[in-house]
Amino acid sequence: MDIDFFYDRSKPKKKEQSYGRLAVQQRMRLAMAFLHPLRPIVAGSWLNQGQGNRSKAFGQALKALMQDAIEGYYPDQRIAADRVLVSNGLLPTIHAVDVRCDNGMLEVRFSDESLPTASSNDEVVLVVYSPEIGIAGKNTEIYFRNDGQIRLKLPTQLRTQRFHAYLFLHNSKKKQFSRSVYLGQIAG
Amino acid sequence: MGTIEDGINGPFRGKAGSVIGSSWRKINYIKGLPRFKNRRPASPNQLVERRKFALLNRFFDPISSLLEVGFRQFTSRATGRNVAIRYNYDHAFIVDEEKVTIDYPALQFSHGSLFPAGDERAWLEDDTVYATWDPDTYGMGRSMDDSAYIVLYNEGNDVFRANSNPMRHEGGGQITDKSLTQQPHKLHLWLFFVDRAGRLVSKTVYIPIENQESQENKNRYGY
Repeated sequence: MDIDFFYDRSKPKKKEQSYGRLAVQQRMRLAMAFLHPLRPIVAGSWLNQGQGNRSKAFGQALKALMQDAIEGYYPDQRIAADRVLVSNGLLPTIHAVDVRCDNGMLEVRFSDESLPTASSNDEVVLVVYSPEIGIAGKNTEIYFRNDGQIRLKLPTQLRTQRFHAYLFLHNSKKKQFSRSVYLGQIAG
Repeated sequence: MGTIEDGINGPFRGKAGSVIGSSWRKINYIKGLPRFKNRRPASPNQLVERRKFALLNRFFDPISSLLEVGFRQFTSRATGRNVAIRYNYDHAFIVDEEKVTIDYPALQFSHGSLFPAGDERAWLEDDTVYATWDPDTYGMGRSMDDSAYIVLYNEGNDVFRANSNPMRHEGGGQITDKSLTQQPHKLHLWLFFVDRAGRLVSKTVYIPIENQESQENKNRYGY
Protein backbone atom coordinates (compact mmCIF):
# COMPACT_ATOMS: atom_id res chain seq x y z
CA MET A 1 0.00 0.00 0.00
CA ASP A 2 1.65 3.19 -1.14
CA ILE A 3 -0.46 5.63 0.85
CA ASP A 4 2.63 6.49 2.90
CA PHE A 5 4.10 8.39 0.00
CA PHE A 6 2.20 11.64 0.35
CA TYR A 7 2.55 11.84 4.12
CA ASP A 8 5.06 14.08 5.84
CA ARG A 9 7.18 14.84 2.79
CA SER A 10 7.53 18.54 3.47
CA LYS A 11 9.83 18.65 6.48
CA PRO A 12 12.46 16.11 7.43
CA LYS A 13 12.26 15.20 11.11
CA LYS A 14 15.34 16.32 13.02
CA LYS A 15 14.51 15.04 16.49
CA GLU A 16 14.18 11.36 17.18
CA GLN A 17 10.50 10.65 17.77
CA SER A 18 9.24 8.88 20.86
CA TYR A 19 8.11 5.24 20.68
CA GLY A 20 4.52 6.17 21.54
CA ARG A 21 4.29 8.80 18.83
CA LEU A 22 5.73 6.49 16.16
CA ALA A 23 3.31 3.74 17.21
CA VAL A 24 0.30 6.07 16.95
CA GLN A 25 1.48 7.40 13.57
CA GLN A 26 1.84 3.87 12.22
CA ARG A 27 -1.62 2.94 13.56
CA MET A 28 -3.10 5.98 11.84
CA ARG A 29 -1.42 5.15 8.53
CA LEU A 30 -2.48 1.51 8.62
CA ALA A 31 -6.05 2.43 9.49
CA MET A 32 -6.25 5.12 6.81
CA ALA A 33 -4.74 2.86 4.14
CA PHE A 34 -7.22 0.11 4.97
CA LEU A 35 -10.36 2.21 5.21
CA HIS A 36 -9.77 4.84 2.52
CA PRO A 37 -10.83 2.71 -0.50
CA LEU A 38 -14.05 1.86 1.39
CA ARG A 39 -14.86 5.52 2.03
CA PRO A 40 -17.96 5.64 -0.26
CA ILE A 41 -19.55 2.85 1.82
CA VAL A 42 -18.26 3.75 5.26
CA ALA A 43 -19.24 7.41 4.99
CA GLY A 44 -22.85 6.27 4.49
CA SER A 45 -23.00 3.31 6.84
CA TRP A 46 -21.54 5.21 9.81
CA LEU A 47 -23.69 8.29 9.19
CA ASN A 48 -25.63 7.94 12.44
CA GLN A 49 -22.38 7.98 14.46
CA GLY A 50 -21.19 10.98 12.41
CA GLN A 51 -24.30 13.06 13.24
CA GLY A 52 -25.33 13.14 9.60
CA ASN A 53 -21.95 14.39 8.37
CA ARG A 54 -20.17 12.02 5.94
CA SER A 55 -16.72 13.29 6.87
CA LYS A 56 -17.38 12.85 10.59
CA ALA A 57 -18.83 9.42 9.88
CA PHE A 58 -15.60 8.33 8.23
CA GLY A 59 -13.68 9.75 11.21
CA GLN A 60 -15.77 7.67 13.62
CA ALA A 61 -15.15 4.51 11.57
CA LEU A 62 -11.43 5.28 11.56
CA LYS A 63 -11.44 5.80 15.31
CA ALA A 64 -13.23 2.48 15.90
CA LEU A 65 -10.77 0.68 13.62
CA MET A 66 -7.77 2.15 15.45
CA GLN A 67 -9.21 1.22 18.84
CA ASP A 68 -10.47 -2.28 18.13
CA ALA A 69 -8.94 -3.74 14.99
CA ILE A 70 -5.20 -3.17 15.25
CA GLU A 71 -3.08 -5.86 16.83
CA GLY A 72 0.62 -6.25 17.61
CA TYR A 73 3.17 -3.75 18.83
CA TYR A 74 5.14 -1.13 16.94
CA PRO A 75 6.82 -1.69 14.46
CA ASP A 76 4.83 -4.91 13.77
CA GLN A 77 1.30 -3.59 14.06
CA ARG A 78 -1.27 -4.96 11.61
CA ILE A 79 -4.98 -4.79 10.90
CA ALA A 80 -7.22 -7.63 12.05
CA ALA A 81 -9.74 -7.55 9.21
CA ASP A 82 -12.23 -9.69 11.15
CA ARG A 83 -12.60 -6.93 13.75
CA VAL A 84 -13.11 -4.09 11.25
CA LEU A 85 -16.63 -2.68 11.21
CA VAL A 86 -17.62 -1.62 7.70
CA SER A 87 -20.96 -0.50 9.10
CA ASN A 88 -22.36 0.04 12.57
CA GLY A 89 -25.87 0.46 13.93
CA LEU A 90 -28.78 -1.07 15.81
CA LEU A 91 -30.58 -2.86 12.98
CA PRO A 92 -30.64 -6.64 13.66
CA THR A 93 -27.99 -8.45 11.71
CA ILE A 94 -28.14 -11.77 9.83
CA HIS A 95 -26.07 -14.96 10.09
CA ALA A 96 -24.15 -16.25 7.10
CA VAL A 97 -24.77 -19.96 6.61
CA ASP A 98 -22.79 -20.68 3.47
CA VAL A 99 -20.25 -18.73 1.40
CA ARG A 100 -19.37 -19.93 -2.09
CA CYS A 101 -17.07 -18.41 -4.68
CA ASP A 102 -16.71 -19.74 -8.21
CA ASN A 103 -16.63 -18.47 -11.80
CA GLY A 104 -16.15 -14.89 -10.64
CA MET A 105 -19.32 -14.93 -8.54
CA LEU A 106 -19.61 -14.82 -4.76
CA GLU A 107 -22.78 -16.27 -3.27
CA VAL A 108 -23.75 -16.01 0.39
CA ARG A 109 -26.71 -17.80 1.98
CA PHE A 110 -27.94 -16.37 5.25
CA SER A 111 -30.52 -17.02 7.94
CA ASP A 112 -32.49 -14.49 9.92
CA GLU A 113 -34.17 -14.50 13.30
CA SER A 114 -37.49 -12.68 13.24
CA LEU A 115 -37.09 -9.72 15.57
CA PRO A 116 -39.56 -6.84 16.00
CA THR A 117 -37.03 -4.23 14.85
CA ALA A 118 -36.20 -6.18 11.68
CA SER A 119 -38.17 -5.56 8.51
CA SER A 120 -38.37 -7.88 5.53
CA ASN A 121 -37.68 -4.81 3.35
CA ASP A 122 -34.23 -4.26 4.85
CA GLU A 123 -31.67 -4.36 2.07
CA VAL A 124 -28.60 -6.59 2.30
CA VAL A 125 -25.20 -5.30 1.15
CA LEU A 126 -22.24 -7.55 0.39
CA VAL A 127 -18.82 -5.90 0.19
CA VAL A 128 -15.63 -7.52 -1.10
CA TYR A 129 -12.28 -5.85 -0.54
CA SER A 130 -8.60 -6.50 -1.01
CA PRO A 131 -6.52 -3.95 0.94
CA GLU A 132 -3.32 -5.19 -0.75
CA ILE A 133 -4.39 -3.91 -4.17
CA GLY A 134 -6.86 -1.31 -2.88
CA ILE A 135 -9.84 -2.64 -4.89
CA ALA A 136 -13.36 -3.14 -3.56
CA GLY A 137 -16.80 -3.89 -4.92
CA LYS A 138 -20.36 -4.37 -3.73
CA ASN A 139 -23.54 -5.93 -5.05
CA THR A 140 -25.26 -3.90 -7.76
CA GLU A 141 -28.59 -5.74 -7.58
CA ILE A 142 -30.92 -5.27 -4.60
CA TYR A 143 -31.42 -8.15 -2.17
CA PHE A 144 -33.74 -8.12 0.84
CA ARG A 145 -33.55 -9.65 4.29
CA ASN A 146 -36.10 -12.33 3.46
CA ASP A 147 -34.35 -13.40 0.22
CA GLY A 148 -32.04 -15.69 2.17
CA GLN A 149 -29.17 -15.26 -0.29
CA ILE A 150 -27.13 -12.63 -2.06
CA ARG A 151 -24.93 -12.83 -5.16
CA LEU A 152 -22.16 -10.55 -6.29
CA LYS A 153 -20.06 -10.40 -9.47
CA LEU A 154 -16.44 -10.03 -8.37
CA PRO A 155 -14.37 -7.15 -9.75
CA THR A 156 -11.85 -8.47 -12.30
CA GLN A 157 -8.85 -7.73 -10.10
CA LEU A 158 -10.25 -9.85 -7.24
CA ARG A 159 -10.80 -12.99 -9.32
CA THR A 160 -7.15 -13.99 -8.92
CA GLN A 161 -6.65 -12.57 -5.45
CA ARG A 162 -7.60 -13.28 -1.84
CA PHE A 163 -10.10 -10.77 -0.50
CA HIS A 164 -12.15 -10.00 2.61
CA ALA A 165 -15.95 -10.09 2.53
CA TYR A 166 -18.38 -8.22 4.76
CA LEU A 167 -22.16 -8.28 4.98
CA PHE A 168 -24.51 -5.69 6.48
CA LEU A 169 -28.07 -4.39 6.17
CA HIS A 170 -29.80 -1.04 5.98
CA ASN A 171 -33.43 -0.05 5.91
CA SER A 172 -35.11 1.12 2.71
CA LYS A 173 -34.44 4.82 3.50
CA LYS A 174 -30.75 4.14 4.29
CA LYS A 175 -31.20 5.77 7.68
CA GLN A 176 -30.62 2.72 9.88
CA PHE A 177 -27.75 0.29 9.52
CA SER A 178 -26.71 -2.97 11.09
CA ARG A 179 -23.31 -3.94 12.44
CA SER A 180 -21.30 -5.59 9.67
CA VAL A 181 -20.56 -9.32 9.69
CA TYR A 182 -17.13 -10.54 8.59
CA LEU A 183 -17.40 -13.52 6.22
CA GLY A 184 -13.69 -14.34 6.13
CA GLN A 185 -10.82 -14.16 3.69
CA ILE A 186 -11.83 -15.82 0.45
CA ALA A 187 -9.76 -16.90 -2.55
CA GLY A 188 -11.07 -15.48 -5.81
CA MET B 1 17.28 28.72 -1.22
CA GLY B 2 14.80 28.39 1.62
CA THR B 3 11.21 29.23 2.42
CA ILE B 4 10.47 32.18 4.70
CA GLU B 5 7.45 32.79 6.90
CA ASP B 6 5.51 36.05 6.74
CA GLY B 7 6.92 38.94 8.77
CA ILE B 8 5.00 41.90 10.24
CA ASN B 9 4.89 43.53 6.79
CA GLY B 10 3.90 40.32 4.97
CA PRO B 11 6.32 38.19 2.98
CA PHE B 12 9.70 39.65 2.02
CA ARG B 13 9.90 40.53 -1.68
CA GLY B 14 12.54 42.08 -3.86
CA LYS B 15 16.25 42.48 -3.36
CA ALA B 16 18.07 43.50 -0.18
CA GLY B 17 21.85 43.25 -0.30
CA SER B 18 22.79 39.76 -1.39
CA VAL B 19 19.36 38.16 -0.91
CA ILE B 20 16.28 38.12 -3.11
CA GLY B 21 12.75 37.43 -1.88
CA SER B 22 10.08 36.03 -4.18
CA SER B 23 6.99 33.87 -4.12
CA TRP B 24 5.55 31.11 -6.29
CA ARG B 25 2.23 29.28 -5.75
CA LYS B 26 1.86 30.98 -2.33
CA ILE B 27 5.29 29.74 -1.19
CA ASN B 28 7.59 32.58 -0.13
CA TYR B 29 11.19 31.97 -1.10
CA ILE B 30 14.41 33.68 -0.15
CA LYS B 31 17.44 33.14 -2.38
CA GLY B 32 21.04 34.16 -1.89
CA LEU B 33 23.11 35.50 -4.77
CA PRO B 34 25.79 33.03 -5.89
CA ARG B 35 29.12 33.73 -4.17
CA PHE B 36 31.36 31.17 -5.84
CA LYS B 37 31.06 28.35 -8.34
CA ASN B 38 31.62 24.81 -7.16
CA ARG B 39 34.43 23.43 -9.36
CA ARG B 40 34.76 20.11 -7.59
CA PRO B 41 34.01 17.22 -10.01
CA ALA B 42 30.79 15.34 -9.31
CA SER B 43 31.06 11.92 -7.66
CA PRO B 44 29.79 8.84 -9.59
CA ASN B 45 26.70 8.72 -7.37
CA GLN B 46 25.98 12.38 -8.03
CA LEU B 47 26.29 11.77 -11.76
CA VAL B 48 23.81 8.89 -11.56
CA GLU B 49 21.32 11.04 -9.65
CA ARG B 50 21.72 13.90 -12.15
CA ARG B 51 21.21 11.49 -15.04
CA LYS B 52 18.06 10.08 -13.43
CA PHE B 53 16.66 13.54 -12.83
CA ALA B 54 17.41 14.70 -16.38
CA LEU B 55 15.95 11.53 -17.88
CA LEU B 56 12.66 11.78 -16.02
CA ASN B 57 12.38 15.53 -16.51
CA ARG B 58 12.87 15.20 -20.27
CA PHE B 59 10.47 12.26 -20.46
CA PHE B 60 7.67 14.12 -18.65
CA ASP B 61 8.15 17.39 -20.56
CA PRO B 62 5.73 16.69 -23.48
CA ILE B 63 2.96 15.40 -21.20
CA SER B 64 3.02 18.06 -18.48
CA SER B 65 -0.63 19.02 -19.14
CA LEU B 66 -1.65 15.37 -18.68
CA LEU B 67 0.27 15.23 -15.39
CA GLU B 68 -1.66 18.28 -14.19
CA VAL B 69 -4.81 16.14 -14.55
CA GLY B 70 -3.32 13.01 -13.06
CA PHE B 71 -1.82 14.69 -9.99
CA ARG B 72 -4.33 17.53 -9.66
CA GLN B 73 -5.00 16.70 -6.03
CA PHE B 74 -1.40 17.60 -5.16
CA THR B 75 -0.77 20.64 -7.35
CA SER B 76 -1.68 23.50 -5.04
CA ARG B 77 2.00 24.09 -4.22
CA ALA B 78 3.73 22.27 -7.08
CA THR B 79 3.21 21.60 -10.77
CA GLY B 80 1.92 18.25 -11.98
CA ARG B 81 5.37 17.51 -13.37
CA ASN B 82 7.03 18.28 -10.00
CA VAL B 83 4.72 15.83 -8.25
CA ALA B 84 5.16 13.20 -10.98
CA ILE B 85 8.94 13.38 -10.67
CA ARG B 86 8.77 13.16 -6.88
CA TYR B 87 6.37 10.23 -7.07
CA ASN B 88 8.26 8.26 -9.71
CA TYR B 89 11.85 9.09 -8.79
CA ASP B 90 12.35 6.25 -6.30
CA HIS B 91 11.03 3.37 -8.38
CA ALA B 92 10.99 4.30 -12.07
CA PHE B 93 14.59 3.49 -13.03
CA ILE B 94 16.68 0.49 -13.90
CA VAL B 95 20.21 1.28 -12.76
CA ASP B 96 22.98 -0.94 -14.08
CA GLU B 97 26.17 0.49 -12.54
CA GLU B 98 26.38 3.85 -14.31
CA LYS B 99 23.78 3.12 -17.01
CA VAL B 100 20.36 4.49 -16.13
CA THR B 101 17.18 3.68 -18.08
CA ILE B 102 13.52 4.31 -17.39
CA ASP B 103 11.46 1.37 -16.15
CA TYR B 104 8.38 2.14 -18.28
CA PRO B 105 5.94 -0.35 -16.68
CA ALA B 106 6.66 1.18 -13.26
CA LEU B 107 5.77 4.76 -14.27
CA GLN B 108 2.68 6.39 -12.78
CA PHE B 109 0.98 9.38 -14.43
CA SER B 110 -1.74 9.73 -11.80
CA HIS B 111 -2.58 8.96 -8.20
CA GLY B 112 -6.01 8.86 -6.60
CA SER B 113 -8.83 6.90 -5.05
CA LEU B 114 -10.80 5.92 -8.18
CA PHE B 115 -10.47 2.22 -8.96
CA PRO B 116 -8.76 1.13 -12.20
CA ALA B 117 -10.89 -0.96 -14.57
CA GLY B 118 -9.11 -4.32 -14.60
CA ASP B 119 -8.76 -6.86 -17.42
CA GLU B 120 -6.87 -4.33 -19.55
CA ARG B 121 -5.62 -5.48 -22.97
CA ALA B 122 -3.95 -3.72 -25.88
CA TRP B 123 -2.92 -4.79 -29.37
CA LEU B 124 -1.62 -3.26 -32.58
CA GLU B 125 -3.36 -3.44 -35.97
CA ASP B 126 -1.72 -1.60 -38.88
CA ASP B 127 -1.44 2.02 -37.73
CA THR B 128 -3.84 1.73 -34.77
CA VAL B 129 -3.35 0.63 -31.20
CA TYR B 130 -6.54 -0.71 -29.60
CA ALA B 131 -7.02 -0.86 -25.83
CA THR B 132 -9.88 -2.51 -23.97
CA TRP B 133 -10.85 -2.76 -20.31
CA ASP B 134 -13.62 -4.09 -18.08
CA PRO B 135 -16.50 -1.56 -18.36
CA ASP B 136 -18.40 -2.70 -15.24
CA THR B 137 -18.54 -0.47 -12.17
CA TYR B 138 -19.04 -3.17 -9.48
CA GLY B 139 -21.03 -0.86 -7.23
CA MET B 140 -18.33 1.47 -5.94
CA GLY B 141 -15.17 3.43 -6.72
CA ARG B 142 -16.01 3.71 -10.42
CA SER B 143 -18.63 5.48 -12.56
CA MET B 144 -19.91 4.81 -16.06
CA ASP B 145 -18.98 8.34 -17.14
CA ASP B 146 -15.34 8.32 -15.98
CA SER B 147 -13.05 9.43 -18.79
CA ALA B 148 -10.23 7.13 -19.84
CA TYR B 149 -6.84 8.69 -20.53
CA ILE B 150 -4.83 6.44 -22.83
CA VAL B 151 -1.21 7.43 -23.33
CA LEU B 152 0.93 5.81 -26.00
CA TYR B 153 4.69 6.27 -26.16
CA ASN B 154 6.85 5.17 -29.05
CA GLU B 155 10.33 4.59 -27.68
CA GLY B 156 11.66 4.34 -31.24
CA ASN B 157 10.98 7.95 -32.21
CA ASP B 158 10.38 9.39 -28.71
CA VAL B 159 6.81 10.52 -29.47
CA PHE B 160 3.72 10.53 -27.26
CA ARG B 161 0.17 10.09 -28.49
CA ALA B 162 -3.00 10.49 -26.40
CA ASN B 163 -6.60 9.72 -27.33
CA SER B 164 -9.89 11.60 -27.17
CA ASN B 165 -10.87 10.23 -23.75
CA PRO B 166 -13.57 7.59 -24.22
CA MET B 167 -15.92 6.85 -21.30
CA ARG B 168 -15.37 3.92 -18.96
CA HIS B 169 -18.63 2.24 -20.08
CA GLU B 170 -17.39 2.13 -23.67
CA GLY B 171 -14.89 -0.48 -22.55
CA GLY B 172 -12.20 0.50 -25.03
CA GLY B 173 -10.43 3.14 -27.08
CA GLN B 174 -7.92 3.47 -29.85
CA ILE B 175 -5.02 5.59 -30.99
CA THR B 176 -4.17 5.94 -34.66
CA ASP B 177 -0.80 7.15 -35.83
CA LYS B 178 0.78 6.73 -39.28
CA SER B 179 4.24 6.30 -37.76
CA LEU B 180 3.13 3.02 -36.14
CA THR B 181 3.43 1.29 -39.52
CA GLN B 182 7.13 2.12 -39.60
CA GLN B 183 9.52 -0.40 -38.10
CA PRO B 184 11.26 -0.79 -35.80
CA HIS B 185 9.30 0.60 -32.90
CA LYS B 186 8.76 -0.15 -29.26
CA LEU B 187 5.43 0.94 -27.84
CA HIS B 188 4.31 1.52 -24.28
CA LEU B 189 0.72 2.13 -23.25
CA TRP B 190 -0.68 3.48 -20.01
CA LEU B 191 -4.28 3.96 -18.90
CA PHE B 192 -5.91 5.89 -16.09
CA PHE B 193 -9.41 7.18 -15.35
CA VAL B 194 -10.69 10.60 -14.28
CA ASP B 195 -14.21 11.25 -12.97
CA ARG B 196 -16.61 13.64 -14.71
CA ALA B 197 -15.80 16.55 -12.38
CA GLY B 198 -12.07 16.04 -12.96
CA ARG B 199 -11.44 15.70 -9.24
CA LEU B 200 -10.99 11.98 -8.68
CA VAL B 201 -8.42 9.97 -10.60
CA SER B 202 -7.32 6.35 -10.57
CA LYS B 203 -3.83 4.95 -10.43
CA THR B 204 -2.12 4.35 -13.77
CA VAL B 205 -2.06 0.88 -15.27
CA TYR B 206 0.65 -0.13 -17.75
CA ILE B 207 -0.78 -2.31 -20.55
CA PRO B 208 1.70 -4.45 -22.50
CA ILE B 209 0.90 -4.40 -26.23
CA GLU B 210 0.40 -7.99 -27.31
CA ASN B 211 1.52 -8.26 -30.91
CA GLN B 212 4.22 -5.69 -31.55
CA GLU B 213 6.91 -8.35 -31.96
CA SER B 214 8.17 -8.26 -35.55
CA GLN B 215 11.54 -9.53 -36.77
CA GLU B 216 12.79 -5.98 -37.14
CA ASN B 217 11.72 -5.13 -33.59
CA LYS B 218 13.30 -8.31 -32.29
CA ASN B 219 16.62 -7.39 -33.88
CA ARG B 220 16.53 -3.85 -32.54
CA TYR B 221 15.02 -4.30 -29.06
CA GLY B 222 15.70 -7.99 -28.44
CA TYR B 223 12.17 -9.20 -27.78
